[in-house]
This record gives sequence, C-alpha cells and structure tokens, in this order.
Amino acid sequence: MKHALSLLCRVVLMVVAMFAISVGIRQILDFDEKRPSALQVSSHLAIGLVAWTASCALAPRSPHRREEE
Amino acid sequence: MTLQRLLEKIADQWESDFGDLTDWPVGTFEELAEYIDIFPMLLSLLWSLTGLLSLVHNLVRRRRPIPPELPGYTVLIPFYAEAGGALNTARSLVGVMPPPDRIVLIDDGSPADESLGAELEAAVAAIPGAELLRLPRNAGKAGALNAAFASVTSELVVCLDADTIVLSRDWRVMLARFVARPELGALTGKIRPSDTGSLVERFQALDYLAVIGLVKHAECEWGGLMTVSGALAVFRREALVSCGGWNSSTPAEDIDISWQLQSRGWRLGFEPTWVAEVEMVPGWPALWRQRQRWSRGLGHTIRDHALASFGRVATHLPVVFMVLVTGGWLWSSLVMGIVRAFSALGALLHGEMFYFGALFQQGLVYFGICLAFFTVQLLIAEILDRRPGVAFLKLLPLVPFYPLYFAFISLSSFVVGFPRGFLRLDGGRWQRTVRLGEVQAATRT
Repeated sequence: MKHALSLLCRVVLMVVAMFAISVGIRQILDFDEKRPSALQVSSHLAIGLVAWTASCALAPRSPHRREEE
Repeated sequence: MTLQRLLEKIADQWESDFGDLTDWPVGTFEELAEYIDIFPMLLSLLWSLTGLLSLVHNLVRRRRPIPPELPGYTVLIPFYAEAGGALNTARSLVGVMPPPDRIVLIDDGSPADESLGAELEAAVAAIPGAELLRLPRNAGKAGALNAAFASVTSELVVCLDADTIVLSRDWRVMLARFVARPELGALTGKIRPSDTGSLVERFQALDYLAVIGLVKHAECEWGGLMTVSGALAVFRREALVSCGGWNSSTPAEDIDISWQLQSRGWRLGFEPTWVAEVEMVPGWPALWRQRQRWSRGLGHTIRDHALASFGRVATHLPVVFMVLVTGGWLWSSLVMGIVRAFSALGALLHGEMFYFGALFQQGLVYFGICLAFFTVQLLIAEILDRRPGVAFLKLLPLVPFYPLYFAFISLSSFVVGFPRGFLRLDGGRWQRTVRLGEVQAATRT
C-alpha cells in the first residue's frame, strides 16, 4: 500500500513537472500582446524543476545499501 | 508583484491550459499538437537544468579521500575480427593506476583469416597482465563476455569495446566510488570521439557531447541511467551475478543489463573523470545501422524490463518514464508531420497560398527557437565536459543542420528498429558496427 502510494506520488509529480515546464515554454513562445512577465515564466519552470526533483527524491532505498552508510 | 498575485496568475494559467486540453475533441487535439511541438524544447530544458544541477552538486559535494584499499578489477575486451583494435585497447591500459588484476582479450570466434593466430598470441603476451581467450564459435558480444566472466574472481569487471582507447591514467577516483557506495552496481565513463574529420563523425561528436553526454549528467540527478556505455563500463561482480550475466538474446546488451541491475535495486553511476576515446562510425549507412540496433535493443528492453521499474527497489522510474514519453512523442510527431504535410499539400492544390505561407512562417519561427534551445544545451554540455571552448565553436556550425541529422538518422532508425525489437521480429540478431576501413557489416547471430 505504502509502495503504491509512493509510486502514485512520483508519477503525479513527474506529470506535474512536465506540465509546468510546458506551460513555461508556451509562455516563452507567446508572441501576442498579453506576453507574461519573466517572473511568471521562471516560476513555472521552477515549479517544474522542483516537482521533477521531488519525484526523483522519493525513489526507494537500495537494499544493497549498508545501514552504516 | 506580490506572491499571492503571482500564485493567482499561475493558477489561472494552469486552469486555462488544462481547460483547453479537456475541450474534447477539437481543443484536445489542438492542445496535444502544441505539446508535441514543444516537447523537444521541454526535453532540452529538463536536460540542461538538471545537468546544471549536477554541476552544482559536484561542486559542493565533499571530496572523499581515496581509501588505501581499492577493489581489484579484471578488464574484458571482446572482439570479432578486430584483433588489431583489441590489442590497441589493451595497450592503452598500460600505466593505468592501479593496474588491473587481469586483461582478458576475448576472440569471439573470428574467422580463421582474421584471427591472426600465433602473431596475436605473441602480441598479447607482450602486454603485462594480458591473456587471450579464444572461443570456438561466435557467441555474440554478450555471450563472449559471459564466457570470460565465468573465470573472473575480481570484485569489479571492466568492459571495453575493441575500438576504445582509455585516456584516464588514474582510475582511483572511479574505483573509490564502489567503496563509498555499496549499492553501486555499475558505473560508466565519459566517451569522447577519437576522430572528427568527416561530416558524419562531426555529427556524432555533436550527438555524443550535446545529447548523450549531457543526458548522462542529467540522469544521474534523476536517480538512474538509461544505459551504461557498452564501450566503457565497470560492473560490481556481485551485481552481475545477481542478473545472471549479460543477456545474449538482445541487440543492445548494455541497455538490457542497465535496466536489469536497476530493477534489482543496484544503482548506476557516471564518472566524468574516467575518460576514453571511441572510434566514430565512418559512414552514414553504417551509422544508421548502429542507431537502428540501439533502437531494437531499446525495444527489447522496454518489452522485457519496463514494468520492473515500478518495483519496490527500482530507482530508474524517471528514466523509464522519460524514455516512454519520448518514444510516444517520436511516433506522434511522425504522424502529425504526415497529417500536416497532406493538409498543406491539399491547401496548396486548392490555391490557398496564404495557408502555405503562414505555415512556413510559423515553422521558421519554431525552428529558430528550437535551435536557440539546442545551442544553449550544447553550451551547457560543453561546460559539463570540463573542456570549455574545445568543441563548441567547432560543432556550432552543425547546429542548424542537426534537425536533418535527427530526422534521417535518429527518427528513421527508431521508427524501423524499435518495433522490430519490441515485437521481437529480429529474433535477437545483431550486426557488428562497421569501423574505419571496413566496407560491409558482417551479420552474426
């Protein structure tokens, strides 16, 4: 159950990361008058990067790792 | 702008984009088409950002002292009708510190006229610690490695291709990583192209630096590697035993063993200070065949081991996720390209020239932005390569033509190779990569 929940969290975080970065890129490519600020674009990219890193950080512990490590 | 206002704007943007995406069917397709268009930029940005993160990580990481006792290692060099190349590889190990326990050159059943007979045995005997293992029949690279591995007693096993020339003399940092991390099952080093004279070699150099090299840096931050490089890799013996050695029924044994190891809880690493030169494929047809073999191998591996990435001890889920998304993107971009080409042709035939002009203009802008992303990616890869300025200016003129290289080599070889591997239509056959001076690839089983 715990493993399934962790897997679900990781997948959701990865999807969120990709969506956030995509929104950021689409804003970079937005050439119309309602061009968003650099702060908005970088916020989306930062959210994406944080979500991706969090997903990777939730990876399980290796069984080959010694306790004293 | 206050934080609250910023968060409101972000939430509005997400709501709007998500709303468009769920506006079935027209909105969904239009939005998906846009996501497909921007995916190369997304990938480039994710690689570049996490690559930079790995740079920061390396800078702040506490340098551990080299332990006095380092694990012993045996070097395996399998070859088929490449005795000269294998000898050069073995000679490049002379002076490496600490020296290997053994260097085993494995003649994988080379034809009698190319096995060099007693001449080869004499040349091997002249290399300190080297020995020759002749297999009576051709077993394929994985089979040859398994045959030699049976007699290995060292803690670590280094595998080199017969065209690899080791540049690093001091291997202590690489070996020390296995002492520091008992969960480290395998590690790969940095591959550099030996020759970049011809156009095909330069494009491969660009590929190795800006894509393959950068991706290794990025994937280390993601917690796994898609593959260790078969040309330069070191494995923990215990980890290899847990997988039963290399899989001889796949065209890309390095991808297969990488996924198997990670599924069993072993971690893979990348050591950028462990460097070797590898001969680039000299011709376009041979390069296409090599990439097609890689795609077939990836197809095999996804079919056999993708589900295991959801296991309780596997950490390479982000890598597998990205491989699957990228594969899906390759197929959908191909389909979308065909649909767009037909609709543009239809509009042109109906005399709607303005449509064609608008599409061309839009494509040009998109192309320019993609190139800007790729140039930044190349720059970051160059910084991570720790030799700033060496390759960047040389490879920069190729950047505008990289999409052609991608379409005609990477995409086409994937479209042909991946289904063959995934559906096992090839029965695990693989072709030896053509090296300089050879005319045709010899097919072997």
